[in-house]
Amino acid sequence: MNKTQISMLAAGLVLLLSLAAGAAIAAPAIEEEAELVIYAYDSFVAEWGPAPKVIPKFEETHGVKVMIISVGDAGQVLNRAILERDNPQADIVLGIDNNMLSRALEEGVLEPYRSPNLKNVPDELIFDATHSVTPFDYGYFAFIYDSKVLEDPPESLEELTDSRFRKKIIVQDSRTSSPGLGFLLWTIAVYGEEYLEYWDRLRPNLLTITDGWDTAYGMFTSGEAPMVLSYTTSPAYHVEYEQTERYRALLFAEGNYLQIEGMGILKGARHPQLARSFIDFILTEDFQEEIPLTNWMYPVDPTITTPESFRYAPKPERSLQLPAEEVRKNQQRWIDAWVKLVSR
Amino acid sequence: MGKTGQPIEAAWAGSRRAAKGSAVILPVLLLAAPVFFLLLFFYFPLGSVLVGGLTDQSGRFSLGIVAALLGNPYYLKIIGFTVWQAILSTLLSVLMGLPGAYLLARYDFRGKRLIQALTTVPFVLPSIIVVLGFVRFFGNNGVLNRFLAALFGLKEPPLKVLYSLQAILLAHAFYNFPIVVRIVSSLWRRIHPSTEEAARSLGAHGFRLFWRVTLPRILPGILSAAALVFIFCLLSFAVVLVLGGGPRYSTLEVEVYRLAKVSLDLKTGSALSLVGAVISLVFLYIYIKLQQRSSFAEQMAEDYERPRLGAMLRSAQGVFYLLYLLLMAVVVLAPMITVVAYSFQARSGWGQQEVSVEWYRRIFSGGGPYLRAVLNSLFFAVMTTLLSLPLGTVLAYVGSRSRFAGSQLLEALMMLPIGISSIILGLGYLKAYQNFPWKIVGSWYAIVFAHTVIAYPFVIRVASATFRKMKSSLPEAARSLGAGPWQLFWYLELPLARSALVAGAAFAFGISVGEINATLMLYNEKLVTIPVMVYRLIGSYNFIGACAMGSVLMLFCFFAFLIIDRAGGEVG
Amino acid sequence: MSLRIQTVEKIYPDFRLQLNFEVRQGELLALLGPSGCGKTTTLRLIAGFIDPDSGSLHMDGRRIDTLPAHRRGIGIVFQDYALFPHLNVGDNIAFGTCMQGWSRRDSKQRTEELLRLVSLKGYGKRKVTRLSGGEQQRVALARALAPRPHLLLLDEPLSALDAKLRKSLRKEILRVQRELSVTTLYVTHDQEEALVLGDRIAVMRDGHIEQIDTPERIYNRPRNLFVGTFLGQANIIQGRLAEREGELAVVKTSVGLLKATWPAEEFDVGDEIVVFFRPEHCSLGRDRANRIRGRVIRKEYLGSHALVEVEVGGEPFTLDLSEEQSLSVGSDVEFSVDPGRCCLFPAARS
Repeated sequence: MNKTQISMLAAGLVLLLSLAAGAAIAAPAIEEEAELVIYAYDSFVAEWGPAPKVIPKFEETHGVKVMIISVGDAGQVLNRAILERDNPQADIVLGIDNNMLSRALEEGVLEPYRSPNLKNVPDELIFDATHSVTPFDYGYFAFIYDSKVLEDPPESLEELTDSRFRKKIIVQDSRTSSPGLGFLLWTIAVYGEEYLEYWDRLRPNLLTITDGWDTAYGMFTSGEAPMVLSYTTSPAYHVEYEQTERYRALLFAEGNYLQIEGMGILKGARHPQLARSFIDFILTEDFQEEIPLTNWMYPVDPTITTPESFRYAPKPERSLQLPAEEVRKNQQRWIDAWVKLVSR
Repeated sequence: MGKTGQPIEAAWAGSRRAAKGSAVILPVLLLAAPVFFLLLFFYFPLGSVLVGGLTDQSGRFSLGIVAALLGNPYYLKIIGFTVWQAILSTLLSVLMGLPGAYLLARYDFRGKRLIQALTTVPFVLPSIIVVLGFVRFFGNNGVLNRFLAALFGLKEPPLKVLYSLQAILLAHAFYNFPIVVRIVSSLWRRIHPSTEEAARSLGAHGFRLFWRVTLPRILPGILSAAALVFIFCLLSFAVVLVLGGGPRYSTLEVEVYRLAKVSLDLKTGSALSLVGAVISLVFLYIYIKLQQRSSFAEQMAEDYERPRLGAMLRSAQGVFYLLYLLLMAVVVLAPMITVVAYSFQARSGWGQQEVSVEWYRRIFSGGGPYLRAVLNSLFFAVMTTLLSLPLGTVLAYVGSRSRFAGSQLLEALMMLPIGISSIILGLGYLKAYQNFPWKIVGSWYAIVFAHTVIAYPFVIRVASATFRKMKSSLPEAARSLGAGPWQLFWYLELPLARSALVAGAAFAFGISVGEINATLMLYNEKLVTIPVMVYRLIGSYNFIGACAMGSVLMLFCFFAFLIIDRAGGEVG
Repeated sequence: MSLRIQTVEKIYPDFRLQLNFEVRQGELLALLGPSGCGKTTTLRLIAGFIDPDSGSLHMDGRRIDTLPAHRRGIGIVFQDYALFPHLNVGDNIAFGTCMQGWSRRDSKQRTEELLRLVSLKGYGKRKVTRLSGGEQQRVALARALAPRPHLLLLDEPLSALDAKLRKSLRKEILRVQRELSVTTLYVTHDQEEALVLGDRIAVMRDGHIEQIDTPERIYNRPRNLFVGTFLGQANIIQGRLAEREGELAVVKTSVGLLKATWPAEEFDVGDEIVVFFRPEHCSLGRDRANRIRGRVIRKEYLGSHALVEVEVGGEPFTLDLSEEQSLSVGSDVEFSVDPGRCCLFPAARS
């Protein structure tokens, strides 16, 4: 075959493949409309996340079709809900945490619903008194370190600023990342208004401030720096899937900051009845038992046994959390001051 | 003085005669469909986002937000830094690109086409892969540092390149130096070496020869490449975000991204985008004006004998070029190779890595989500190509044949998508089509339209270069033989532009395959593409998988660009 | 078909074109002039690539300036041939017939005809990029002629070729033109070409035609100094009109009294005059009028004849003499000019 024939063949092949793919994509026009629509964050919806495990369970027991859509990260989920407030395309938004609560309430996009299953949940985890947001898992922010590289890790927030950790820490931006915001609030919970001085001391030790957790953790596992801000449950992942204990979580003397995740029903949802059923569902064992190994957080239901690997996810003695009202009042001011400091 | 060397008078411009009226209808008809498409799928969504920056609380038009923005020292600093790093990056890209352009224009060597195709791939790679490659290669624990540490027995990594301004500039050069090489070399190789030979016989050589004889002639090419690179660096986002190290180095687009994450109802973000768009428009206009000058320049002199590169490299002056090639290999090829190399691994017990093709098996096993993503990307790329090709060609054709005042401004407006970040575009689609009667967001054609909008300016550029370069006597000959305006287009100019069209198609294909920002806003489970999959894999510790998908992407782009060079297309 | 250019004007910022002439049926009119005089602009006006500012163009009485270029039925051969690189020789030639809707069979037949006419039989399938300059030129000619144009325009078609090829192709063009008797306008800056090819020559300068006439009359009876010096070589000497009697004039010059047979009604006695005569109209010998004496300062031997430069009282003169009359440099010489061959023009403004 000569060159022209080869390239025609190649072009034909490409066209064929793409048409096949296109047919596969275009096909669903015939499908029935979903009866429940959920907006969630990316890692929840991915193949290795909770959705593929929990959604079919709900669909089967309730005999309905659920469409769960990823719209980015948790912050994006709320943003989407706010954008569509006049014409909500979804019934449930999944991923609103204790730090985002005040904004969600302020924007008034949620419909309160007190699920009877809340009785399974400890009081301190029910972070929304109005029950517009129902909690489904929680975790603690913690610094993870590489024990192969770092021999004497810090034991407190303060020790993190020690000069031996120069350029060895990766954190996230509080504007664009929920661990990032969590860490900022953590320092405020510990240092109060002196938090800026703390950050000034911490700055020389930061290798980089990334926009999201993915990038930060990726750099950490690539070996760019031996410490990264993440969750206490992160080491469990490595134990479970990589059979290694080299990455360990640090519990600090001052305590670790708490993050509770929840979901809520959108005002004006098209399928409110089903949405309420789903909220009930998330507090049942069917849903809660999948959380540890797919979302790498603790289930709010304390009766769920966590897997072996979670032994490596230490629970802090002191759990820190700033009151939601205080966060709402001051968040912007705190963030602005922080930005100013780290941009110098 | 008779004006003999002029480009052809527009067949329809300035006609006073009724019989010539039919020639006005054709371009209007030709333009109708593309303009309508753009209005609906670019300007409308764009407007719905930017309007946020131009209205006050009550919804009336107001420049208040823009004014506040420009009066805020924080944002002024950001705008200043954006321009500053763009200037530095452009300088670096041009400096890095010039020797490469020289080698490509003046020498022949085996695998020339391959190298050319390879070095163009960075241009369409999604930023996440670039970043991945850079971190894996230049990072503290990257290939380069580990190699040097092993070589010199060091404890700490010697080259702290990343998370700094240098990293940003370097990554920009990586992205953009192919553009410089392509544009400048396509002009350079048209200049017959006889002028340089003449100068040499008169005693000029080395740097002086370059400065006084060669440089003035390739200058239009350099300037137009620089203008384009400047715009790209201006709008750079992921590179700055990740490799810059944090809030310290922030550009317009990074701020827009951050503001978009905080709230989809952009006010300041829109105003920022507006500022960015205006600056880009200015430079687009400059670029287009420079384009016209450089494309009339040389026409013949493509087929002259070129010496072999191998021989030159062995000579004394070859040392410089050898070092240069080594540097290019490190900066441009190494990050890509690192990504590919890393993909051939599997994580086994104890966190160790071993060589394996496991991920490729996973990707290409039927029915899996990865293969789906690959096929989706292919599908979108083909559709994008099919749509952006006629769109860009028609616009390029009309643009190159029009001489009315303001036609260049219009051309700059047509090219505007280059100056708008794809984040804004994606956002625009979300906002604008909310209340549309039929579903747009979440459909496959939304993604195709978004990709088309992003890709067609490049088709315009490539096609435009060819239409302009056409000797004016050819269309005149055709006209004298009885070809009306339509026949002129169909039987003469289109066939002659064939190689440009192939090049444009390959570009559109590559750009679509690598698009991430807008796609991230418009996709759903059925519509996952390779870049989205890479993004997700990175988000779940699966770097090997991410590298594997990234390698597949690079392969696609490589083949697309190989086709361009087969067809001899050039970016003008 | 005759072409009439009726008081056509085209105004540019630094240049003004004014034309009023015609090309007669079946003739080859050579448009001759220095570069920048407007010949190509004229061509483009006729072709329809530019519009005149005023005036009109007519072919056989029908107005054509209102027609777009692709409907004028004019064949053009461009300076750079403008062959379509993506088509082979046959398709190039057939392009016009295809555009004008001829049937495939007729087109093919016509193409064969023309290939034979320009002596390129069998070249039909060749790629145009592989042809030599001369071959390309012939294809360009064939292509222009294929759709039976009413008028043929040639824009310096031979300027890109070497001298020998130019001469042979010149003959070809002439032969083809005569055979088809197609009205032709041939633009050139080469006076030899104009003299050889033109049935008539139009000499152009600065946007207007100085003189339009047969080659002989242009050469022997130029209307002004410009035309006279543009074609061929000339000797000129300034002087003052001393006497006038009918057709005979006597001019007093620095080299003596010169007689000329020239209608001199426009001059008055005492006017500043320039006397003009060709080198080949000089002869050695003493038994003619207009005897001039001088010294040989240079000689150019050209085989069949010699050009001898003679200095007369500071003024240079060139004589064109046949071999037997060879002279040596430095020697004195006396030559004379036939008064019938002398032309008179006003002085100063030339």
